[in-house]
Amino acid sequence: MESNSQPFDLSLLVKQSNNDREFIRSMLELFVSRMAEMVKNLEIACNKNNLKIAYSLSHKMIPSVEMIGSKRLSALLKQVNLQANQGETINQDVVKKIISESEQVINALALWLEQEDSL
Amino acid sequence: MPDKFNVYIVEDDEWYLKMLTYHVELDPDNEVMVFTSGSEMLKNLYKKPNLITLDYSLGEVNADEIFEKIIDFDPEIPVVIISGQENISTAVEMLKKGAYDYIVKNEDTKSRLWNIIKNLKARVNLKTELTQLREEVKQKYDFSTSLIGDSKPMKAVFKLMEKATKTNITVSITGETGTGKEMVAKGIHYNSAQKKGPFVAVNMSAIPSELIESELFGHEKGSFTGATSQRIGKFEEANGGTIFLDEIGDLDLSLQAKILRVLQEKEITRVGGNKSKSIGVRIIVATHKNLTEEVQYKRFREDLYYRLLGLPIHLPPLKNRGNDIIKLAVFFIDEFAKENKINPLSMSSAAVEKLLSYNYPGNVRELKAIIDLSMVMADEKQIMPGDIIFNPVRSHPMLIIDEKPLRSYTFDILKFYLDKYNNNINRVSEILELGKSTIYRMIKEMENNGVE
Repeated sequence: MESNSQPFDLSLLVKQSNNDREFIRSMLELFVSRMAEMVKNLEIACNKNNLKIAYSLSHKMIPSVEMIGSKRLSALLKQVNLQANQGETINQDVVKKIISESEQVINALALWLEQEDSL
Repeated sequence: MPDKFNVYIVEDDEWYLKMLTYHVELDPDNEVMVFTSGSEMLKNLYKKPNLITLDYSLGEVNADEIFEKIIDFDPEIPVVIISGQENISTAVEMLKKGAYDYIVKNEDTKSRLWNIIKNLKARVNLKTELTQLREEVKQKYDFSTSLIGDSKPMKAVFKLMEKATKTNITVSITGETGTGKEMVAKGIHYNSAQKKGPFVAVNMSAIPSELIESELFGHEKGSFTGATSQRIGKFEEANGGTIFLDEIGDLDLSLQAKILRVLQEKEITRVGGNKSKSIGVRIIVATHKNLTEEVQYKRFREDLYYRLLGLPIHLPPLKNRGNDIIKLAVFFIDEFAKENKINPLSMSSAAVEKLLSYNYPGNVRELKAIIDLSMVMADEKQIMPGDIIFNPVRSHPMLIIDEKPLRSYTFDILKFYLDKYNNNINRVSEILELGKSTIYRMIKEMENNGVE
């Protein structure tokens, strides 16, 4: 379960890969390496009210965010996706929350990877 | 499966591309090629993958466009649409257009994808098996190997069969029992444009008259007592191929009218149904009866007769095929040896003479039985005359050596010909060279003596 202290839950990824640690590691590294940039692009699109890009980016991000069990971030992205799809102006508070939540996820995952390295 | 199962994954999200590749490659029989754009994948379509997974939200162009290009190239390639979020209308739309399946990126993606691949592999195996079987069937019914003979009457048959394969003309085959009418029908089917469709044989005389309509045209659920489910008939089953109606002369008049309608309208209606269904079927009919005579005696509709006549092919009885008897015998010896994993035997010249001297009332079917038995009976490496045993099933009463009065034999002879010619007094009178009034008198006498 995702807790306040841990903004992700790897149980689905573990189940899907039969606990293949090497694979899980590589997926998380890829997630961490590109998430910041994707969130940045989403923020720009939302600020410019470019709904097509906001829709497309959020749509792309949701599956991987769900797979790492980050429910809060997934719910926020779904909200942006829905607003963009309905042609509504994106709620800036939601965007801010996405930024802060993604930072927390990235940091927590980086820490998890570090701990895995030290094992 | 000898070759790898090739999967193309088209996905512009690097993270999910890696995820899908991992899932598919878990089975070492699968080989994955990844593409981050549809256009890149289209350039590789010529390699004909076994499956394409196509992300519905590709950045560059609409997935619909890519999908249509795949279908245009080869509609047989299965395409699975993978979408980030569930969208029922998109799913329905894509499935209508011919997508193999539609799956969503969620925790079930892996199992759904695995199931799809499993089913497709089974389909590929079936397809390979089907191709192999088709090839075997093609060889089996190749004129040059399946129908043996180079006697003049058989050469004439082959010539007509070749003509029959060029078009979808109705073919009517006549000939005594055991002359190979069904083999000729199959030979025409498997060498014609209909060869990829089914070959459905129906023996009219083997189906009870009350069931024949449902057997031929199918029935709807509840259309009669015992019709517990819907059933398709032989005509529908043969759609796109050939229907072989054997012993068509035995069909009763009411059904003849229905067959005529099928031939004229090219559509059928199931028993108890009210909707017509178009069908495209090549018709081959066969009978041992003299249909012209049946028409003359109003037992067969004249209009149907002309519809069915098409290209008539008459199969000569085996006794008129000369040396073909020996060619067929050698073929049956090899076939028997192959089936029983034994060495084929040769025939002594006296055995050959014996085979040529017989009249084969059961025709090719009987010759095969004689040869099979001779292979079992032969002690040496050669089949000897003593190994060839004739057992004519159709022995008629005059050959029965019973101790009974001559009058009884007379009745037997008359009864034999009356049965043979369906009580056609004119014909029997001609054959026995007796006046019709004599025949009628003898029938009356038979009745008085309790002969049925």
